[in-house]
Amino acid sequence: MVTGNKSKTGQRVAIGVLSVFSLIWVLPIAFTILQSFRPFSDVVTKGVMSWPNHLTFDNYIHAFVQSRMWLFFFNSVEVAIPAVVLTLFLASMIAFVLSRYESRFSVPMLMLFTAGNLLPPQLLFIPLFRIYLKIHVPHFINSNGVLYDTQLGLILVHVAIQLGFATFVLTNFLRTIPKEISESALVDGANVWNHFFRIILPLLRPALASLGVLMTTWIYNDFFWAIVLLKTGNKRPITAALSNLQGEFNTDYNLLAAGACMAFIPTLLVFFAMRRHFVAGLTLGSTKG
Amino acid sequence: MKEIITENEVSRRSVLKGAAAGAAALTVGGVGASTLGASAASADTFNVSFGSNNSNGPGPEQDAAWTAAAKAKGINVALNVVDHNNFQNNINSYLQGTPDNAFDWFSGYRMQFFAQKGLLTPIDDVWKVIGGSFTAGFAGGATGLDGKKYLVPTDWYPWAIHYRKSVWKKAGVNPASIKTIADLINACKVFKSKGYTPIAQADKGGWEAQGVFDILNMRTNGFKFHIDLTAGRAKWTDPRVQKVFANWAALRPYMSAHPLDLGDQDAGKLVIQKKAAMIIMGSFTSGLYPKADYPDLALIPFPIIDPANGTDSIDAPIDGVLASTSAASNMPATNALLEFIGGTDYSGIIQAISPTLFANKYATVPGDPFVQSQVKLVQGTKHVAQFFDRDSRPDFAGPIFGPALQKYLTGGDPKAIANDLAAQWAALPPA
Repeated sequence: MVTGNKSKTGQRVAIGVLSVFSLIWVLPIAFTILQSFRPFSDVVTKGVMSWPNHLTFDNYIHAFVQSRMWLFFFNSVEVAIPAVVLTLFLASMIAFVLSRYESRFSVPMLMLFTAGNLLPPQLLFIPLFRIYLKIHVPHFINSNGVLYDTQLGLILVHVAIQLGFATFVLTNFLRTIPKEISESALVDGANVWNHFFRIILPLLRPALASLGVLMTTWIYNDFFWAIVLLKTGNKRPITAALSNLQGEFNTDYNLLAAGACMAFIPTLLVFFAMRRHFVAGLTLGSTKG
Repeated sequence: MKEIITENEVSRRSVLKGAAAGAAALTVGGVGASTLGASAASADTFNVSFGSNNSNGPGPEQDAAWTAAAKAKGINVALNVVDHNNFQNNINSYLQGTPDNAFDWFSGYRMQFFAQKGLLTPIDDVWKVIGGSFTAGFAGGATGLDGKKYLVPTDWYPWAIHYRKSVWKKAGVNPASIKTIADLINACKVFKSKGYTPIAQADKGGWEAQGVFDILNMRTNGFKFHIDLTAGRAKWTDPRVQKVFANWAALRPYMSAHPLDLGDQDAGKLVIQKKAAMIIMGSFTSGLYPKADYPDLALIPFPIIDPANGTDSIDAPIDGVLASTSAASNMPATNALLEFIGGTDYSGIIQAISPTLFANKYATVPGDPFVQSQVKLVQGTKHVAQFFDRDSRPDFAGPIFGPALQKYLTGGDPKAIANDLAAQWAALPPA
């Protein structure tokens, strides 16, 4: 009885605390969504905290049509998908070697990849900017003839930065898979390529799915690299384009809110479509066999 | 969409500006043919890239306009639209990277700074063509420290006291009666007694209060001292600086209590919502006004503090277009574009859609009463300053002076602040 009551009170307290926190979490988002449906003139004359007179879709239409959000959506996809695919492919190759061909370099190499994660991008930006201006690319990629201001350059940066974490996670994941599978493959005469493509890659599938979801979200949300490595407005992804909705002197925050709401739709879609993998992704590599 | 355009001043104006730029491009073809003929008859096409920081304006219709300009014989303008804030924050890497041939920028120190670093191309040839259309004041603002021209001035706006006529009428304050600072303080007392915040003051961004400092300094100590101070020829420890803060202190009880919580837009909205009676701000604050409230907006010059100076000077920053280093290899087309932007065809197209003040003296002045009052204000003044962050070094105005004023507005001691400013100026690397 006593313990039952105790746990009941405990439960109530927990629910109370969680409700407060979820409210704190949800309020700003709900507020943004509400603002996105209000016309700017309404907010200017009555104040942000006032009750709206009428709600309208105009902000969304304006953001999508006049501000060409669709173009920037496409830019985001163009950067995120190749970057994620390339990262996962390269990282699984590295993870394969590090976990299946153990040598005295394995651990130092894994450390090196992880350490790369710890460098803040702000530190890397100036040297990268200089390097990108020196790397020449064919003119069909960039009319200026350099890697700076190309989506290819942006993809490469994302791959380089995400590779560390992806390698770390995939290596740990592979270590949980019994080596006997690999050994029997080798006994059956599989060479390195067969071993990788036919045994390891299929085994990695759940890990790749989770990691892919996480990385898509991260790369999609990137703002910093898009701003510093792309100078042409029309090449920039959606995150950077959102600030296009700010004017020189005055900013229509309702329009901005509408743009922001549209920008988080793809992230939500990815989340709901792959919810299972999200949860798996959180615990990925946490257990080591 | 039509709803937005009519209801929403902000998007309406920028959209119009974008559309106007597009329309401008259409005529580039025609005008280009005449101005271009001489300068580069041999080349087949003139490709020129233009970096615009006029974001949230351009839409698909603008792209179509530029495409049409490309088809017409003349210059083919590749427009690169970037949002204003990021463009400004990344201007250094933009200019050192692969910049567009020409780009939107500001006059004054902000231009000279990059000119000195060799990141701009002088455009004296363009000025040979357009020079006659600009007064000496604008020509001065377009000139670098080396005496060469770098800027084609386009539009500008004055800083003044902005208010709603209906609010002043209701409170019984006659704007025409505000001649001296004592009149202003008396009016503030009236507004305060009627429950208004007399003066909305913002300083969240660190630049808003610089406009107040500028006008107080010009009224108290005159234009020459102000320009000497901003350029470092006068010292911050000069007792005249303290006189400015003393005059400011007299107004402080009538200003917003927590200016650091207010951005310029927040403060501007207080006036629109009739919570504050006035704001000392650039005329761009008009962009916030819903269409129905816009006719209620008016301005008066900041009143006299020292009769010796009268109201002879104001801040009126000029925006314009510069040529980057990449223009050097594309001079004929860049020049053609700049000549066009400096001409009355360009200003005419913009003004047909959105009332804007152009630097070109032959440009028509829009009939809009509020714009007319801006013109009158400037015609009545002898000296035009640019604004603190354009008259002073960028590495002083932004990171040093801005926070110093924020410190003052949160109760800092003006003497200590002035000493601090003097010490920090002295510690700056030679410009």
